[in-house]
Amino acid sequence: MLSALGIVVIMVVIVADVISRTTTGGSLVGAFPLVEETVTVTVFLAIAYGERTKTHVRISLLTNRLPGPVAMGARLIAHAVALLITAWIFKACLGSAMDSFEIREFHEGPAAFPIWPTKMVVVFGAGLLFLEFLASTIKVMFGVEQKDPEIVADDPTSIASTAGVA
Amino acid sequence: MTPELATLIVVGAFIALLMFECPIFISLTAAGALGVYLLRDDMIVTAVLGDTPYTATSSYTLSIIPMYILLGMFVLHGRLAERLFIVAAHVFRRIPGGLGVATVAACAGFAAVCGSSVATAATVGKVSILEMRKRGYPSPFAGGIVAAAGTLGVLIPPSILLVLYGVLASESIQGLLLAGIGPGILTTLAYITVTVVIARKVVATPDTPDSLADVLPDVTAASRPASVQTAQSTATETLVDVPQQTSRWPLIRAVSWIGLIFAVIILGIYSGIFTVVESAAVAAVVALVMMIVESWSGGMRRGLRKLLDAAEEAAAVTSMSFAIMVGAMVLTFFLVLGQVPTHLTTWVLGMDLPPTLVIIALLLLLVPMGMFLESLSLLVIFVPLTHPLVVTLGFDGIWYGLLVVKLIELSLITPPVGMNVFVVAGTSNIPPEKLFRGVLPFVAAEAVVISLLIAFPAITLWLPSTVGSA
Repeated sequence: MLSALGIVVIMVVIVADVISRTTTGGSLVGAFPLVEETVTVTVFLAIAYGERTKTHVRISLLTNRLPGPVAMGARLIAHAVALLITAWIFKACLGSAMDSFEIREFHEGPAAFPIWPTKMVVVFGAGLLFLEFLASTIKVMFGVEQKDPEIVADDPTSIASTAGVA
Repeated sequence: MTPELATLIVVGAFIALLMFECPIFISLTAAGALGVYLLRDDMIVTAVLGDTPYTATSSYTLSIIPMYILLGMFVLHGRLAERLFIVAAHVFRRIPGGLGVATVAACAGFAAVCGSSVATAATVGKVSILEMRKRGYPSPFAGGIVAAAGTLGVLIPPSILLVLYGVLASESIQGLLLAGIGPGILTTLAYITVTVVIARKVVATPDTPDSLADVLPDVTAASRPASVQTAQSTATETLVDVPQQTSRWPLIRAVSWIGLIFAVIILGIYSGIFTVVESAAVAAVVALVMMIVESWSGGMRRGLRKLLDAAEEAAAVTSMSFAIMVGAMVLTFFLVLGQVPTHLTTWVLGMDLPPTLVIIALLLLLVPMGMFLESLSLLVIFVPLTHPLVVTLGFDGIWYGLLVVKLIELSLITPPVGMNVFVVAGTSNIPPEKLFRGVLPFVAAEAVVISLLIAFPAITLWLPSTVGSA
C-alpha cells in the first residue's frame, strides 16, 4: 500500500516539476532527489510482497519435471541460498544505513535531502524479505503447494503479475 | 583464484540456482557475491551487498521504469484493447484476412501505450481469438497471430526492455526508444503480410463483418468479465447489458486516448519540450485520467479502487524489475572485477573473424539462452558481457540494442518457455503445441525482419539520428 503510494508520488512530483518549469521557469526545489529516494523506497517496500505473490520471476522448467522429493530438495537448496543472501544483504545494508545515519548523509544541492531514511527502508525491506523466505521455506519443508500466479484474461491484476516487464 | 576458474564456478552456480527454482534476482546476487568472494574476500562482498541495493535503485533516470509500468497498468484497467480491436476490424474489413490484420494492428496500437508484450497478447487476444475462430480461422493460426503480434509490445515505445538496455549499456534511452519505431513498423508490416497470405489459403472470404454493428455484440460479449458471463449468454443479451458499447463514441474515445498517450510519449522523446522521464510521467497522468473517465459510470469509489489496484500492481512489478537490476549489478561487479568482458573482447578479436559474423553469432546465442531464461534476466546477463565487444568492433550500441531486444522477443514465441504462447493458450484454451505450430510462419517472418535490420542499420538508426542520438 505504501509502495503503491510511492509510485503515485513519483508521478505527481515529476509532473508538478514539469508544470513548475513551464509556468514559472524554475524547477521544484528537491524534486530530483525526492524522486530518486522514492524509487528506492517503492522498490524495497514492495520487495517482500512481490515474493509473497510470486511476482519475482523464477524458472520451474526442471523442478516441475523432477520426482516430488527431488524437486523438494532442489527447492530447499534454493531457499537456503535465498535465506543466506537476504540475511547477508540485511546485515550489510544495516551497516551502511548506520554509517549513513551517523554522518547524517544527504544529497548535495539546494534541498539537502537526507539519504539515511531511505537506507533504513532498504534494511526494513530486506528484513521483511528474509522473513518471507523463511515462511516460504517452512511451507516447502511441509509440502505446502505454492502455486504460481495464473493469467486470467479479464483480470488486469493477473495479467500484470504474469507479464512483468516482458 | 584465477578469474577464468571463478567465472566457471559462478556460471555453474548461477545455472544450478536457476534450475532449482531460486528467484532470478537471488540467483544473480548469489552468483555475483560468490564470484567476488572467490576473487577477493567476504569484506568486499559485504561492501557490495551493502551499497548496491541503494545505488542500483536510487536514480532519477530509472524512475522512467515505474512510470512506464504504471502507464501500462492504467491502460490495462482502462480496457482500451477491446475497442481498439473493434475499430481495427472495421477499418480492415474489406481485405482478405481482415480480422487477422485487425488483430496485428490492434496489437501495434496497444503496444504504443503499453510496454509489455505479454500484456498486449493477453488483452488483445481475449477478444480477437474468439472472433477469428467464429469466422473460420483455424485455432493455431488465430492464436499464432496474437502471440506473435503481442511481441510488438516491447518494440514500439514505450518499451521497458529498451530502457533497461539503455541503463545497462549506458546508451541513450531517447535514441533507443526512437530506434524501436522503424523496426516496429517493419515487423507489423511483415506480420500483416504473413496473415494475409495464410488467410487467403485457410479462411473463407470475406471473414470480416460488413458493418461495425455486426462485430459489436460478439466482441462486447468477449470483453465482459468472465464472472458475469453465462453459458446461455447470447449476443442480444450482451447488447442489452452493454448498451454504451453500441455507440461509436466509445470507440472514437478509445482511439483518441491511445493517440493522445502515444503523442505525449513521442513528444517527450522527440521534441525536447520535456525529458523522456517526464514524458513517461505525463503519459501516466493522461492514462490515469483516461482510466477514471472510462470507469466513471462505475462511480468514484470504483475509480479510486482501480487507481489503487493499478498502483499496487505497478509497485510489485517495479520491485521485481529493480530486484533483478540489483542482482545484475552485483554480478556485473564481479564481471568487471574479473575483467571478464575485457577477456572476452580480446579473445574474440584474436580470432580475427568478420565483425558481422561475430554479431550474428552473438545474436544466435540468444536463441538457446531464450529457451531457458525469461526476457529481463536474459537482458541483464547478456548485455554487460557483450556490449563492450560490439562497440569495440565498431557497431552502434543502439542498433545492437534493438537486435538484442528483437531476439529476446523471439524467445517469447518459441518453445519451451514461449511466454506469449502460454499466456494465449491460457486465455483461449488452445493447446500450446498447436499454438507453437501457429506461430511458425511468424517466426520465419521475424527472421527475415532481423536479417533486414542487420543488413540495413538505417532502418533502426535513421530516426535516432534526427535527434543526434545515433
